[in-house]
Amino acid sequence: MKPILIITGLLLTGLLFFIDSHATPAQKLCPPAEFLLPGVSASTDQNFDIADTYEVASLMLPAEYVAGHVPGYHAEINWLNNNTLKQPLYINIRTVPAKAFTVNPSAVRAIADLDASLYTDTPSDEFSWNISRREGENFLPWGSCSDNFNGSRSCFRNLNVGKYWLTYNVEAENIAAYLQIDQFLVTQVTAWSCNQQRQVEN
Amino acid sequence: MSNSRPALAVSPQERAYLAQQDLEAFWYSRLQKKDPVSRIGYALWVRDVEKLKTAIALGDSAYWDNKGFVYWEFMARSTVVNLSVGLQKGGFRGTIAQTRQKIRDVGLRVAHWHINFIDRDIRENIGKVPGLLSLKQMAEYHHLAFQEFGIPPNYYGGTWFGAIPDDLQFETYGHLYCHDCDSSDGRNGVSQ
Repeated sequence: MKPILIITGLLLTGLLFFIDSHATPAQKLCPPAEFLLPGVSASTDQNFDIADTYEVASLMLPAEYVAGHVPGYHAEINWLNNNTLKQPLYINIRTVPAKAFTVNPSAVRAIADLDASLYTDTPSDEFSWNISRREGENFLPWGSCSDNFNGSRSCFRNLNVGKYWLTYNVEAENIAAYLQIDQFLVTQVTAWSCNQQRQVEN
Repeated sequence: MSNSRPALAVSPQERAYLAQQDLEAFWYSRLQKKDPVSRIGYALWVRDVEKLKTAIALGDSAYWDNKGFVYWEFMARSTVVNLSVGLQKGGFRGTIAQTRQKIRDVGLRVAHWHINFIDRDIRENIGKVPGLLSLKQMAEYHHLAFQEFGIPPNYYGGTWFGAIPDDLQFETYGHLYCHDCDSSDGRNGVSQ
């Protein structure tokens, strides 16, 4: 890899984070640069959708880093064909909440292999489900999960932290730790707020 | 962007193709929906290279970004070489057959995340067209899949970090890209 290319990439990635986002200055975050995902190359290909105008940032936290901060988090899971997959935490941060969904209490059912507090009312013959968290008699939006056919589940958890709306990925093996992941991210996002000193540092 | 794009939601049949680990069928189905990611996906996993030539020749040239077979096959070959080098950098060591299987496993995981990102795109109204991903979304789930296998992020070609393989890398790993492989040395043998 050519050093100039890497340096240019780093500079442009950092520039993209502050220029391309439609978040206002007050909505910006200053996470450590090593967690930021690289920007995308300019392209004239018109076949793709436009970029998300509500996005503040997308981050990837290494699996070992997350496991070091979140009790019960599995840094690796077993997968098809004897593979072991690392479990980095992908986090997409937006300024708008995930689309609301209503829950039909008479249709809710628990989903095998997920946390006992999580339910869905999506019909069982579908493969991607809205997930709610039960609190007493109420069902509160939690996120979504998909059936991967091979006995595993992949989920996106939606989490509100102040003025930010986070979505992170979590596999079935780590669902039981979602409350700890939530707490970890609340702490992280708070620590990533941009104050004058941090902006200079970054 | 074409106005004649079919609905892009992932069908139960497409999910079943992935469950069967049939990447060619999965990406061919996505190709019929003009999912832009499927151009490289199909080029990577099609068994019969003539099918790729036909799909490009008879397809909508705007959908193929006005580029021909030589371009798309080069992109697919570059992807295989990048993955091979990236897996090595991530610590993977294996025979040619094992490397090819590992590349295929990465391909399965990429398809897995493609489905999940489309589901989320539709569920959360991200972007303009439901189920149509942006370049950024595509890059992000590739990084996610690559990191799951320990592949450094610079081995994804869609970012500024993106590495175009050099001649030596092509010479070393280029033969891992083959459409109808049936032997473990990769020249004529089992990619599917």
